[in-house]
Amino acid sequence: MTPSSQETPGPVTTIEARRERPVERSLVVLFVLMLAFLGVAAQLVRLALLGIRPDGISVVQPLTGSWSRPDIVDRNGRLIATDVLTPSLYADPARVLDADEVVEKLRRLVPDLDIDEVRAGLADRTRRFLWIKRGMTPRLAQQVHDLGLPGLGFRRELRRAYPQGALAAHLLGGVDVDNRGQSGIERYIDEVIGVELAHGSLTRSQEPLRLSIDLGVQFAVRAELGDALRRYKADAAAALVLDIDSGEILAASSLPDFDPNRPADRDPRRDLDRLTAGTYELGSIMKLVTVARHLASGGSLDRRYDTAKAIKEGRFTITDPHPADRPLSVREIFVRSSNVGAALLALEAGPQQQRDFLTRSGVLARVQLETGKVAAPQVPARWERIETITIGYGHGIAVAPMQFAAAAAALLNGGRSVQPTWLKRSGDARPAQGPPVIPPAASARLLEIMRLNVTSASGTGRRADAPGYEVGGKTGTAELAVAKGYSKSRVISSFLAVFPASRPRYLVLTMIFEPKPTPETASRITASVNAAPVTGRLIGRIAPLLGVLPRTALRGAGRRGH
Amino acid sequence: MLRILLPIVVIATLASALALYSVKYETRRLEQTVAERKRQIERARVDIAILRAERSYLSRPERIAPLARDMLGLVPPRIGQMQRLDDLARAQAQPPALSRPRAGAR
Repeated sequence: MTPSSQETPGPVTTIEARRERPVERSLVVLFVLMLAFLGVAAQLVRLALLGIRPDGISVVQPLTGSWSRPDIVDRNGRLIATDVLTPSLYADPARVLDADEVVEKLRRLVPDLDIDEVRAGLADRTRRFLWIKRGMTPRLAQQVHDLGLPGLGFRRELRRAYPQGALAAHLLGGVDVDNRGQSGIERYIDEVIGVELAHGSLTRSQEPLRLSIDLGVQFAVRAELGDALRRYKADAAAALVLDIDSGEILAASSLPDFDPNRPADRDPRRDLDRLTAGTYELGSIMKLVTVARHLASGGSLDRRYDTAKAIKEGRFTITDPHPADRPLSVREIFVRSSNVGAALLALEAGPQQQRDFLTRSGVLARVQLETGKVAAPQVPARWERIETITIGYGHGIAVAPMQFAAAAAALLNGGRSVQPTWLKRSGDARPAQGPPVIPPAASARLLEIMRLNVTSASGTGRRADAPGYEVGGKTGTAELAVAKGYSKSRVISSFLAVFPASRPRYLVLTMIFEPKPTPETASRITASVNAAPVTGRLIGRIAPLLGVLPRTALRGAGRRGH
Repeated sequence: MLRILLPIVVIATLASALALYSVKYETRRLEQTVAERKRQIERARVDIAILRAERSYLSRPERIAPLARDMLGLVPPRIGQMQRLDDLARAQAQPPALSRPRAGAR
């Protein structure tokens, strides 16, 4: 004890005097503190039991900025193309431990990986980001994840999916890895409708794009074309169904085609849409235009022409395979598909008038579709007597089938020009039609001979008849131009059909490229034995889908005073 | 006066601090709930997109046509199988002698 401590009793006693209350006070403080610690302990226990939830979004798979596109649906709202989120694999080369191991293990899971490129990318340690595989299936992503390789990661990206596969491949076109449209309707969406950059979340704000296509009809067309390829061992085939009033394209298919979900499988042969990107000499279906000009300039179907003798022009001689022994009426020229007759009708007009009519009727114009302009027609540089003759029956001039279909639609719908479209026209009312091409009476006469060509026993189109649906049509067998002149064994056979003839609404153009003779066709390759029956079967199949009532049902109605 | 006021102020301060904290935590909790709901919405949207694509894939004509043909025995409608609704109604209204063969032909 120090003296100083002994001196303290004085003050101590003063505190002693008030001792009772400070003790109570400290007890209160202790109690409060204890309560507080208990609270802390309880909170700890609670957190330990319940776990700590991180606030904010878990950033396992960030969504990278890819382009969000509107869905594409058919005219009845069935889905044709949509965006789905898919994982994409990337690497951070700076964090990859063993590049060889990564490459080796990935190669086993992803066979189509570009090994050399990945190896080169991973070798550059200064890089922090490298795409390895974009757009994987969720299953594959899981497998890669399970490898547990450091330095690899996933990002979710929007990717275009085409659930219908190759069904409408050509008109849809395709998109690139960033989901931007490259061709076809997809490019039209980028250029006209607009796409949105998707940050962070999917924005489904855009209305789907409604096409004029009917998936059911499209399927029937593609299936019949596939069947035609097998039956006639043809190289390629194409067909389209067009509404002759509104110009809506209800189906368009060109085989061979491709699956837009597999861009890697594409090649130029499959990419070629023969309906819009190719031009062909169409052969005798052009006689429809020749006769149309004859009628439009006041000619009659009953006027007769002497087709028995061959036409000589320079080094060319035009004859019919089965010359008639008497003068033929225009009606007969069309039904028998007489080249001499068509030549005489063309000569009656002369080069200038013929050219004018082809321009007016739209055969020489370039149809502008949403997917771009169709291929430009190829016309002869010199357009004189011989060209006039050959063009009269469809040689010497090459046009895109879509172009010809639009022109033919104008001739058959009462004579109003038609603007084909891939998009559904809004509203139920039939849209206003374009400027007149030929008088309505001439159009009615053309329908009459188209129908006659199918019903008459000598008609070239009788195999195209689909009972009840009043098919009218014209065959065309165009010999392919080869090194010297034209080939007899290589042809494009085509069939132009319209139905139902009494209330024409739909046009079908079928083309079969280089069909081979088979027992079924009695070893012939003309359109009457291949393109015509294909079209007949097709119309029998699609007419119910299009809501065309067969004649039998209508006649029943008519008898009861309808 | 001050002796009474002081504890009141202290208690008020403590109470408001407590209230503030509870509001803050409540807010954070709500924010978490909102974020969670947003994630769920996002996930649902992604699922819907995938399911729609899948439904479209499964109902593509290429797949349905053979199934309908082989398992249900369906064929494309023939012309005799189509009638206008008006005609059916009229056939019903007509005397039995006329409508009977029609019904039998079906």
